[in-house]
Amino acid sequence: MWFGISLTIGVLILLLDIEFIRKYIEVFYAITILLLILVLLVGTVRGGARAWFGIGSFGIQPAEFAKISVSLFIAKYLSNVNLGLHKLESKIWAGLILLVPIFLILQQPDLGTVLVFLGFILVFYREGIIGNILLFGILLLGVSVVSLALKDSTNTFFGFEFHSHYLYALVIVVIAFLVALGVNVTTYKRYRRAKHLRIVAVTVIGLILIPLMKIGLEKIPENHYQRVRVEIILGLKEDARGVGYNSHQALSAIGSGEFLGKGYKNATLANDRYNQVPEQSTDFIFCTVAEEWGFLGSFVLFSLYMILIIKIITMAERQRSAFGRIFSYSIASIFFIHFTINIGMVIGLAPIIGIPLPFFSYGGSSLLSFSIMIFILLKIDSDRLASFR
Amino acid sequence: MNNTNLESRRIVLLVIVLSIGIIFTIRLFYVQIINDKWKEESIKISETNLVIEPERGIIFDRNGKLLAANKVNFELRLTPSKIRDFDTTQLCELIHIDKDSLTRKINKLKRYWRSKQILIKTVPEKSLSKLNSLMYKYPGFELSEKSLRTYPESAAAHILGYVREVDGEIIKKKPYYRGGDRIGISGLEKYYEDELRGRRGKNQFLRDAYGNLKEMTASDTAQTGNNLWSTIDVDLQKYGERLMQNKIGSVIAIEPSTGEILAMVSSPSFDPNLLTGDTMSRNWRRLFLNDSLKPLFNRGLSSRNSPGSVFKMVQGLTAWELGVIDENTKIYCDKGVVGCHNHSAVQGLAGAIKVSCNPYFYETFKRISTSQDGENSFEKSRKGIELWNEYVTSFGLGTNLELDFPNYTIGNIPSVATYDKIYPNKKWNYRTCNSLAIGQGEMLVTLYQIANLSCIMANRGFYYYPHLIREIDGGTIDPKYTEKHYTKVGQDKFQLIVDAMQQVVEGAGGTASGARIEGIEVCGKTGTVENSRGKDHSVFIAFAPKDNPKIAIAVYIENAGYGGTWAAPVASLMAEQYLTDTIKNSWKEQRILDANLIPVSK
Repeated sequence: MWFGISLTIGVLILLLDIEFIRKYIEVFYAITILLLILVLLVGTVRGGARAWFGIGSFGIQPAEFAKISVSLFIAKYLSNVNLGLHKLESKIWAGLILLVPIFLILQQPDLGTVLVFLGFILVFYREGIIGNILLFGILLLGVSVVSLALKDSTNTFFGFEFHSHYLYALVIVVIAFLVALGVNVTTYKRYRRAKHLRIVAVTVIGLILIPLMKIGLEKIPENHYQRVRVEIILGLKEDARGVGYNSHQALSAIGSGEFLGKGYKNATLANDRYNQVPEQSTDFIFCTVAEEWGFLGSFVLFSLYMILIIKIITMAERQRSAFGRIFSYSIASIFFIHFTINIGMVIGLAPIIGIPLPFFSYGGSSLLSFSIMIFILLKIDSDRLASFR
Repeated sequence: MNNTNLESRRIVLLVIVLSIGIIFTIRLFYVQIINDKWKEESIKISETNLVIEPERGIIFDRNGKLLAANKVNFELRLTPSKIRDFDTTQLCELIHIDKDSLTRKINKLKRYWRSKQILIKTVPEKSLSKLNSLMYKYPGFELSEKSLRTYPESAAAHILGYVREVDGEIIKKKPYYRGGDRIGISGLEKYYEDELRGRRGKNQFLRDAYGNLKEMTASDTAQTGNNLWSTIDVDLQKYGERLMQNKIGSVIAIEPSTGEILAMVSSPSFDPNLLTGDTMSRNWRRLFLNDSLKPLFNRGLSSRNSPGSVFKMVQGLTAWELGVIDENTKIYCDKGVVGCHNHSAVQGLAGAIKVSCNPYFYETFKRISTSQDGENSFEKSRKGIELWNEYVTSFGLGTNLELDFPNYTIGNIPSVATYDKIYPNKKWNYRTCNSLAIGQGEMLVTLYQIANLSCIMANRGFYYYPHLIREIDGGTIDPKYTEKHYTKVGQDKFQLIVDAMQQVVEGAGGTASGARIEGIEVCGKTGTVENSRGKDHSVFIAFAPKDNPKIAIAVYIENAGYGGTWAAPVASLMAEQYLTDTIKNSWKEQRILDANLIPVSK
């Protein structure tokens, strides 16, 4: 049913004039904000969040649609030629467009969607609102929080034991190295040295920051409500059956897939018959893929997402209008954050945060919202030759 | 801001996206391929093995009667997390337990909230069908079949032994066993454990997150344990246990032509069913700790004693074989070095055995030593004892007779080393150990070896290792039990001793007239073992009939006095019962049944 609705609305979008959509963007945004306020008042609670308008089994999540209207609004605002992006005032306005829905969604609370909105930082970075240092600072903070959220564990690689802190530190080093490589290729020689130094400095700070945050949290008494609150938000104390139950079940299902998997519909853990993996059909849908299709199938899935996101980025870069470029980047970052948080959570690299995997997780609102995004994208791309202004 | 510079930021974003993809792929490769931990975890959480317990093998007696079998039995199990409100009073009535102890038991099990545990080991048979139909009223409770060992004849407790659920210590030592398994702790149940236990089967199921079983994925059927055919004649065994009531001691009866043990009574005894089911540990404590007569102690195999006068036959045969006497040698009964009772003059070796003359055998012992080469009596005695030990042990005394039983004592026939240890200066001679000649002193044997001596006499010079199992379904018994063992004394010399043994029972002036059986020629020899702590022990060995003997018996009754008075009639009653299935002399039987020979403890 949701598939049919998605398709119909998609075709409708293709038939509409993009100018029509552009004209009413502020209205969409305003409606979204109203709906987000309304859901806090009359919404129903599912999975711990007051995020749904529900009639029986039928439910709509306004936050899903907020992603679209916020993307559109930001694209429209930032593409305004009269706007001086270097001005502090316009930066603050751009931030506010994001912060209002973030604030409302935090009240539900729906941490996953909040993270999706924070992903707009990538768009801001591309548009020059924030610089290199700020981006890496934010990335570092993100990785630190993630490392904080994960339970202490030791991982064995080829006979060597690593404490989890070092694993995440290693992740940062790898990212930093790759970014350095990227910067190296794309900047003028005379700037390189200074930029390298900055990257090194940020990396070193990150390496120190991760253990410090861990130690800092442990200094807070075990049952202090602030600590408990932080831990609940980070997913550490979310589950009554013990910390890490979800992650344990998910990793067991994935690990049992091995190289080739058990075959279609042969999953014995991530299957609604056995219910070994909680939220198997929604947030943990990747477990089923990994168990039934193994490493090979999962790798293909990863590749498809990578191709999709990279394709959207290249699509963004060929837009002649700033509006089209910014909107495309917004969609790319939404997909990227969904993919990163969802898969990262399922394979045990990120805390348990409820967030669907685009086009895979069961859920009408998210399917509809992702479809609309893609169809608008297609429409904008097909109209790009017409938009000379 | 420089637009070119901003466009280059595309590269940075692409690198970030790709590095996430690479990191995730590495992580996935690690979880799915390099590290087996998650694969193992998945098996742990998704599969359940239901063990199918094999039935334990059955033990039959020599006539096919059930000695040890399995009884249908139901346990009541409980999963505390699944309990809902239920009718406590009714359940209490059904399982014969009062409300308080039921509550106590349930509270104890609540420590393991989600696991199924045993609440009652044996649900009373009468309430089984009613309880079964009412089970829907008791969520969380479950009836589960677990057969119980049972001993239908209620006899031969010492031979059969008992089984018990394994504890942590046994599991640590023998990894085959798992919680709830049973293992033989003593007797045949222990010795033949590997044959009896069978092989466990297992059904493998997939389960869901709540522990509900789904499809079966693998199945392996259980294999019932092998049945054992015992050599025991349970009717004779029970008769022996009846005769030995209110006496301390043991009776062992063997078929001489095969070495098969027909009966092995150790008294006081107990009903082997006491050590099964719910009341087992309470009964065990009662038998082991709170009974001064130690009913769990298997006297026939584990109690070491001097053989007494029954040894004189071995002594006489040894001396004769070594040539220091012949069948006509007469020795004057001077009661000098060793005492003797009053008897008529001894006419040769046969006569000496008939009247059990002490000085006669002492003299033969002395002659064995003095006839050896050597500079002095010490050296001669050393050689003498060495030779004597070699001959005596060839009768199976003080040696390992390889019984198919987990524990028995071997005893000791003194040797040169024994006395060198007592007298480090080696200044000892035959006078030091003269009591050996009449089966007293340092010589320690078990009744089981004395019964074997009786077989040697019945067979005129050879024996088989006595044993308790003669056939194993689906297995073979050790070939060592069908191998003949000869003594070092020539077989031609035994007939004379056998004739003398007949005289002991049937001749005028014989010491065991109480062992006579009407119509059957019985051969026997009495013994009386001196005891420093009370009345003498009464010993008797016998076999019957004289020609082609069917049964050889040894009887040992502690603190009963002369061998002829108590041990001899017990032996003859056993033989008569076995050979004719009736007792003609009911007065004799009644006298034994009525006798209480347990010494009153001071």
